[in-house]
Amino acid sequence: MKIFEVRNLSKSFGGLQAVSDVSFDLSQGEILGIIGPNGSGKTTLFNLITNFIPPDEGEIHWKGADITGLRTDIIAQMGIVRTFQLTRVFPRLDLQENLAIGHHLRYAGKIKNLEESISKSIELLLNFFNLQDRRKILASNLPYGERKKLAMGLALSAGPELLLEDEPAAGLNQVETEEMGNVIRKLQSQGITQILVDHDMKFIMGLCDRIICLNFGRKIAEGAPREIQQNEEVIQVYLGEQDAD
Amino acid sequence: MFKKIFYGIVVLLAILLPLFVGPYYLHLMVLTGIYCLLVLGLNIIMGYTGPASLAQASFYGIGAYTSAILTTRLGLSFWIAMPLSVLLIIIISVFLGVITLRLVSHYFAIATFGLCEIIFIVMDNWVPVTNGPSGIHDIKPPETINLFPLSLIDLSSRVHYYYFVLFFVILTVVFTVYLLRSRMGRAFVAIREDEELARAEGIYVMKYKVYAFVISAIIAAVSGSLFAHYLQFITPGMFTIFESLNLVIVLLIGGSGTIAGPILGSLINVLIPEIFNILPEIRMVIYGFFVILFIVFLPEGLVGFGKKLLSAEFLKNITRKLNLVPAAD
Amino acid sequence: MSQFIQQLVNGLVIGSIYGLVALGITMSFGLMGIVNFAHGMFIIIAAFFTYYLVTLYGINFFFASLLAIVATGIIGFIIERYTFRYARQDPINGLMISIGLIYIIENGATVLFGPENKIIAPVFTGTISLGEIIFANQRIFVFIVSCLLMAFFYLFIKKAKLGKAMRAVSENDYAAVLMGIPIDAVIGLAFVIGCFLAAAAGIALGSLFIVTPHTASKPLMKAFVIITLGGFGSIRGAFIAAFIIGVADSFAAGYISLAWADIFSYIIFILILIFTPKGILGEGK
Repeated sequence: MKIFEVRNLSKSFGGLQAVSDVSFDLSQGEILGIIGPNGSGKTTLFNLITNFIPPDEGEIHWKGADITGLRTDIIAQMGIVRTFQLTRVFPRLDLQENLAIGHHLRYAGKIKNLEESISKSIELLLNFFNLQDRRKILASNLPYGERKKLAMGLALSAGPELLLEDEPAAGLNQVETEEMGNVIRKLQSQGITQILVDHDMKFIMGLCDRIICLNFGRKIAEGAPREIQQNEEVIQVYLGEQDAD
Repeated sequence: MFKKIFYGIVVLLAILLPLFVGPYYLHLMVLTGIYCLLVLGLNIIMGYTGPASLAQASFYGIGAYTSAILTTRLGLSFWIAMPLSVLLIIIISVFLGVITLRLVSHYFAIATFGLCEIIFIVMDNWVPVTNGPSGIHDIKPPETINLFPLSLIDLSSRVHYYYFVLFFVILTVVFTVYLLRSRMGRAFVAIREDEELARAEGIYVMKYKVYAFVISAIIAAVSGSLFAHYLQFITPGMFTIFESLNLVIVLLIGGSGTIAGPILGSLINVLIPEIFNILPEIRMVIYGFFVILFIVFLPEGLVGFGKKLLSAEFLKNITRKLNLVPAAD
Repeated sequence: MSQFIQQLVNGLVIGSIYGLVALGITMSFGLMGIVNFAHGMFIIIAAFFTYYLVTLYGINFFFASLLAIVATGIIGFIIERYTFRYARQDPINGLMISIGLIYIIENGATVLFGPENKIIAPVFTGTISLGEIIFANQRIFVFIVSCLLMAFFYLFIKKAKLGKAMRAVSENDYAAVLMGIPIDAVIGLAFVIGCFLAAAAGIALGSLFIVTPHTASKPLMKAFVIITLGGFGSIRGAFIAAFIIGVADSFAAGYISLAWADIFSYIIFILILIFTPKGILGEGK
């Protein structure tokens, strides 16, 4: 059963067609990769799915329900959470408070021992990312790699079933990239469906079950990593119109 | 740990105050307490959720006028009039909040400016109800409750009224502390820090902004009632846009987003003119300079600055620079 | 009928003054995003300046006006350079700075000059009559000069190189920097132009009505209403909206009471802010 379906999604800004008639779907637990040159519409796609920007045309279905154009926080409530290309955290708060805010959705209504449950969950997350000793540090004082982990932690705090990750490996060194890859694999083993956008080909090819390539807002290829690597159009898009040497 | 002792001492001093000061200063303290409530209220919308509201003085005025009118014209008891004025303010602030809170921060400020002006004009001109510019003059202090031991409290006495106001101040402070630790309080802070990120994390931003706005309005209305029944007369001129602006400034100077900030700011607001005995206009000029200085150099206000001074990192830097701690080899 | 025309004419005159203020705000707020509630202060500074030069030193009105406008511009330059420049990150800071400035200048003026009403002696005395309608010469003069000033600045923004630079900065300051436009200077200049316009408005007000430290707040609020109505950043919109509001105010004052007219305009203002932020002429941002 396809847990997530995108049909004919389109968005234009002024005269510019940012996303054009994009369709794809996902099964639960799959990891989908989205690649494409800068400006091909990858981040806009995320914005449309989570309704940070309303789509012009198209539909999005999640677990059978039409979520097109619903309020962003309701979409999050339904289980779809995203991270941002320019890593976003709450800079003036420490890690613990950051993650506490992230738990907003998970602890609604009257729950006994609310603070305790949140604390336990925060502990789990901190351990998951190996940040237990850093919990009182202000987010703005974190080195880049840890901030990225925190952003991921923030997204996970909300208890997502579908996680949209915008450039999770951007700016990370070899070790950190591997760690991030492990995190993503662990999440998959927990049943979380993921969509990854990134420019690190090795990273994407190594993690994703399927990959979509966008160019100028249109989907130009879809398939397993092997197929995409050998796809003529994809290669052309990335290498440009280079004359034969 | 230190914090609790510190606050304990402050509360103790506050409770013992009437033993040390004469009626004039006690009068000032009552007014300070009421003012402090107002600033604490403003702190919730402005310090914790974000946008600057210039309507706080209007809610203050509506609370004062409603309470005054219900008791003087309709003969209701204060103890019924005040809750009713809170009810009215809830209705008004929900309505106004839903309309204006979708605006971005400085547009919201401008809109609340407009609201403040409108409400003032109504107060000043709706003579059959508000008695226009001359205001309402025959307000009585709250009636004594005929239930032991509450019957021992006589709110026409300045000392008793001081404790009455202090009670509300402490209540509001405690409320604010619990609010901050609650799910709603966290949502407020998230919205102030990064509204879009808050939204992505599942926080329904509009709902919480309205909550914050309404809570601030309720606190303002309560202060209004307390004010009206203490001073026993009110005029529209007490609730102008300048009052709203002054509240914002006091909050900024004290430190918005903190609890000690509003308290400190209110004390400064009252004590400075007393100590320096200057013309109100000159005081305002000085305030003006302070405001600009604070924005440019000390945006966190005095309390924020104080926290920075006392913070572990700062102290570490200083001790290292002064060579008080031998450098590691 | 004649009362109608009289009100209309008064409305146009007051509208032209509102227009000067609105244009001034458009320069700093509409174009450059500087939230300056203290814009009205430039109105009073110029008015008091002119008043003292004319009344105490007997200086010719035109010369005094010129001096006042220049002085206001200089003060505005200093204020922008040393305060608002730091507030660009967060517009709320600009708001706070404005409040501080209002406190300083309005109260400072009260202390220095006293709260009594002052009026700058009109240069053109006498009236013209057309049938039953009376036009005070001074009013006609103010109207003509105001319109000329507004037209001049409109052309400036549209045609002059500097004006175009200002529009560029307003659209996209990052791109403007890349194009080599010195944005600090351009923003500063726009602000100063705004001060000039405010100064002119102050002098006009002072010669037609009275001047006190508090006369600025009402025209300023009207100016915000006007630029909201006309669309933030749209000069043509401000121009048209100014006359609409001026005439509406005049009629309201004549036929209903002034207070309720004010409420009405504030309500419209808030409704427009919320529902059609681009202004009724749709040219705003």
